[in-house]
Amino acid sequence: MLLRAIRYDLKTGIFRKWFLYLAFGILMGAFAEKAYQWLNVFQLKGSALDVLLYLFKGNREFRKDELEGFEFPFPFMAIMTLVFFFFVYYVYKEWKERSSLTIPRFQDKSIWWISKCLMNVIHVLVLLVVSLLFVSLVAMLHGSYGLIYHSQVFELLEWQVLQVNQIWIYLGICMPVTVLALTQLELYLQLICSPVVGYVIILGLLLISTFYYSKWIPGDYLILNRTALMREGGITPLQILVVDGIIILVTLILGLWTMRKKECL
Amino acid sequence: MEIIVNDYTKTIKGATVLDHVNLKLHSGVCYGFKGKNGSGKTMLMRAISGLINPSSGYVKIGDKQLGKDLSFPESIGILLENPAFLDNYTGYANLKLLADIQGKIKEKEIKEALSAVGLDPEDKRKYKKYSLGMKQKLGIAAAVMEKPEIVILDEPINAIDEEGVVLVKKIIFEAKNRGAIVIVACHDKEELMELADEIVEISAGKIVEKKEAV
Ligand SMILES: Nc1ncnc2c1ncn2[C@@H]1O[C@H](COP(=O)(O)OP(=O)(O)OP(=O)(O)O)[C@@H](O)[C@H]1O
Ligand SMILES: [Mg+2]
Repeated sequence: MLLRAIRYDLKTGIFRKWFLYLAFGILMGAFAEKAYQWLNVFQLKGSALDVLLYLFKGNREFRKDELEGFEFPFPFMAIMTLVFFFFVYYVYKEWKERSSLTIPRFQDKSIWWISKCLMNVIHVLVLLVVSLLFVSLVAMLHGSYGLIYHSQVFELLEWQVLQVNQIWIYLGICMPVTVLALTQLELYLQLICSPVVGYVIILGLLLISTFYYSKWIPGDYLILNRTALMREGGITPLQILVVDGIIILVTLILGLWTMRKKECL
Repeated sequence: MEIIVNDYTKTIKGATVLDHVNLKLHSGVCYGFKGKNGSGKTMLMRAISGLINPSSGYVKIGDKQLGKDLSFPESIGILLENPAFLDNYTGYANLKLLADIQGKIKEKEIKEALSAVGLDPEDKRKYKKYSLGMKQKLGIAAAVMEKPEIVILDEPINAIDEEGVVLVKKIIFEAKNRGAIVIVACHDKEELMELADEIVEISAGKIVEKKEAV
């Protein structure tokens, strides 16, 4: 039954939103193109990997004593606004409007919720693949193939990648898992209050993260210069995965608990 | 099979919407729920479907109690008020999506259900282009396509034309013939008399009368 439930959510939740995934890809591609134009000014050749690092390098947090230091990260917030837009209404609508059609067919409210969480895992994987694909595509148009890290690009930015061998741990694991945890939190908030509240809370968290550095606000995990990848003593993968894991587990269990009592009115 | 509603009371935020309801429903009979707006017809349908939990009392489907032995009736088709189908899918695609959840029926049965309510199975129009009556017909098709043992239709015909009503009657008749318990709520007294074998009158969450339709 769970398998059938996931198949249902894949169809209604993911396939039906293909145009949003396309929009996400194009947005990533557009920012990648902008990054290349900037690199071209300095006659640097960057790979798709450099561009991804550049896009998610993020801004330096707000500091009272440095008036010039803070720059609002528009690209980052634009990407995140879209990333968390996919399921703004999904769980809410599926429950509020479609549950009398679907729930008796699922025969189980727990399966309904677990399936939403598993759909989210697939969603995050698709986002990862789409970003890699579109950024690589733009990189190829600029004559760069493969995913190799070039330190010159980051010297120019006066930032450096401290642990080159861990780049993929951050890009391929920590960031997707953080998006997963935050989306699941968003889905859970839709179960207990309104969909808009869920979306606003998540974007609020990300906004706070752009201004402040905290090891405990997950938004910071999506900004690479707050992590140990680019900052001495920054947030480590272990910390990121533990906090994300707690969010995922707690919202999963709270969701199951909420579902047990939830009525279809 | 029978459905037993035993001393079922439901309060929502202090308001009693179902008040000590006792009811026994049998196979092969169509029950018509009658009552004013807000009397509790839809709520009682939700109770029987397992969509709400009782404040006290219980519902039994056969010998299994909802919320204890079962979460939902195993074989039930529900049309409640205004179900939301997917706007950008055709009628067929909407039904297929729902049918695939359980995988009990295939293309053939889905198309039969569409024809039975008077919709064209090959219609390529999307749901959002449907008229009100067509939407209601699709809701009925969704409720009956899997030939469930319990069929619940909440105001199935208020937007449907005469020809359509004849088809709905036929559908209800067929459902009864295969031994289903059918429950219909309807505002029009005469229509309800024609559809149902027994009329259950509800007022302020209480059953005030249960009698044969004449
Ligand atoms: N979602 C809800 N939350 C709280 N109370 C509700 C909800 N839906 C209905 N009620 C209340 O339950 C009572 C019964 O409503 P119900 O929808 O069952 O009436 P009804 O007999 O189906 O009316 P109608 O003929 O208008 O369809 C009403 O007093 C209504 O205010
Ligand atoms: Mg009603």
